[in-house]
Amino acid sequence: MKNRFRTAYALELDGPLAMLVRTDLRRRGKSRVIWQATLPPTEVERRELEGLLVAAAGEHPVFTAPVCLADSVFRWLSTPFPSLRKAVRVFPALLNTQLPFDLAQCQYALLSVHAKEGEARALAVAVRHETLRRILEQCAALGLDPQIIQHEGIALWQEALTAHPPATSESRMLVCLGRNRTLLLYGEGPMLCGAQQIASGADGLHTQPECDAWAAKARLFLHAHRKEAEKPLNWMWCGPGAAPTELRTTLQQALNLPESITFQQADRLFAAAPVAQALARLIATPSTAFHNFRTEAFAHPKALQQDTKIRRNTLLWLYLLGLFLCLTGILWQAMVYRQNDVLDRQIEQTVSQITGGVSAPKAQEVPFVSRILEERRDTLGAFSDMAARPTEALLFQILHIASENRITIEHLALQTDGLELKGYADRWDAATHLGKPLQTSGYQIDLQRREAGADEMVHFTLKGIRREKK
Amino acid sequence: MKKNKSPIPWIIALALIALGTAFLWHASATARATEKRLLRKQDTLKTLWVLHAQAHQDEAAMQQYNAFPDKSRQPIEKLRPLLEQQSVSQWTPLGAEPVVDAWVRETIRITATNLNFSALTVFFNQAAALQNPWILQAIDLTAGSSTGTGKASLVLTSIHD
Repeated sequence: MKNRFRTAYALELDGPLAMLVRTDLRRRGKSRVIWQATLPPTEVERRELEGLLVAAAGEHPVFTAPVCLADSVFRWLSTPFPSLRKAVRVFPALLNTQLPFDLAQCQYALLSVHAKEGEARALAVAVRHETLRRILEQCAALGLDPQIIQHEGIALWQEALTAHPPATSESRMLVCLGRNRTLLLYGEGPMLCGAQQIASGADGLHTQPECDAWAAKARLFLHAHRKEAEKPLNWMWCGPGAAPTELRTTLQQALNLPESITFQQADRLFAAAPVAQALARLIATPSTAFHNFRTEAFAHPKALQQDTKIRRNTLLWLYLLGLFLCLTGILWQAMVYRQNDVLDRQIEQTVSQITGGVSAPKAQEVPFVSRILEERRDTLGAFSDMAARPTEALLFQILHIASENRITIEHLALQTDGLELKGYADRWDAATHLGKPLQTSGYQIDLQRREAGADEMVHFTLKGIRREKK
Repeated sequence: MKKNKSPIPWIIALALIALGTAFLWHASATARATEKRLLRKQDTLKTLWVLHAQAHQDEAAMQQYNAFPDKSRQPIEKLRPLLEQQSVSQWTPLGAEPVVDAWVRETIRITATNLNFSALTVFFNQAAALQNPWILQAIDLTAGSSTGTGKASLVLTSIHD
């Protein structure tokens, strides 16, 4: 899920104790408990919360609430084949067989789907519809309408991985000791293997027997999930009851675990309400572990509105794109046809102007018009030739070039279809200057030169035949 | 709020896009197919314009002749003295042929020996200035012993009524 929120307000439920925690989502900002009360809240507490929520509205925050471990199903599923595509189709049926109720009565998610050692595995989390309704009613009673409801165990585990990255081979036991309950999370490396809730917390562990009972449950959980006893284990404490006090020492002693197990304080987690902080931060972190149970029938109205808006906008853009393509195609085609028509009309008009109204066959306009003009040229050409005075023009051009290049002309015979020029010059290349204007006038020329003789002059004869009548 | 999951609007949108793409493709194919034809027509038009200009030029020349107040033969013989300042010239008519309507083209040969070639420029200009003008059709010059003089044979032509 792409985060578009700057602030998150997360609800943490520690037995009858409810806390509302504000977390700044920008760059893993700080968390702060802004409200807490023992449920049901008093009128004063309710009004205080109402005021806080009104003030928060300006931030446009995201509200999130947890599905408690005790209210949800946490199971690892595996199939005897590694194909993930097949496995994903099989997992729901497999989960259904393991539940005491029908899967159709649940919202569920398959997370961390992967193949390992010839098996396809997935983490299934499920919560019953009636549980979700209860959570929503509980939130509504506090004036909250969370957009996101997440599994608290997964959120807490992910937060601990981020705050205290484990070594690859490390086994970790994360214990969130609340005031009224304890969350036990066991994992190997980054993978969460088991999650369980003990219904007693720091406020209920005053006597040694109570501590022993607590420790026995925790040991049972650990031994149920820890496969390799000799592997190093890191025991991490977090939560409001996990400060390094006498209680913690008592519990550690009561656990009676081997010395290879190291105990550590998860001091980078929010001590007062680690679950709430984890819920908030998982929204801001792109993670495959994130899942929002508020989908389908439980979808938040704003989320539905947003989806509808996105869907409508997408449809609108698709319609516009389609219309644009249609119009462009039609216009382009029309332009091509129009261009063709314009050219046809211009050709027709020009032919008509030349021929005096006679039409030419299609694609034969030039030969047709040329033929007509050729016939006319025999008569009318005579008049334009008179105006052009071509022979005189060429004559004076030849005389000018001869003068510039010190050519002496001995004989010049110039006619419309041929010419001959004999002369001499003091340079070998002088006569070549006469070639260009003659070629331009349509003469095919042939220049013969002799080496300079006793007179030190280059004698030449230039002959020309006109290729076509101009 | 119930989510509307009907696929019909999407199908319509995709159909519209498909239709638009088809139009565009068809237009592109038409443009490609007609491109050569259009280029050919543009070339044809350019050639026709050149031919039109030539035809117009020819007609304008004839109209110029029709505009002459006196369409009859202009006596070029009156320019004879220009060529006989230091030489003798011989004038030989070469006949006339019909051109169009009542117009005929007459040709005359003039030969002169010991002609000062510089007189030719004046002679040609004055001949062309006559209405109807006489213009040079062919010329044969042979240099003489003195620079700028020699033998000349000129063929001039004129169109008259």
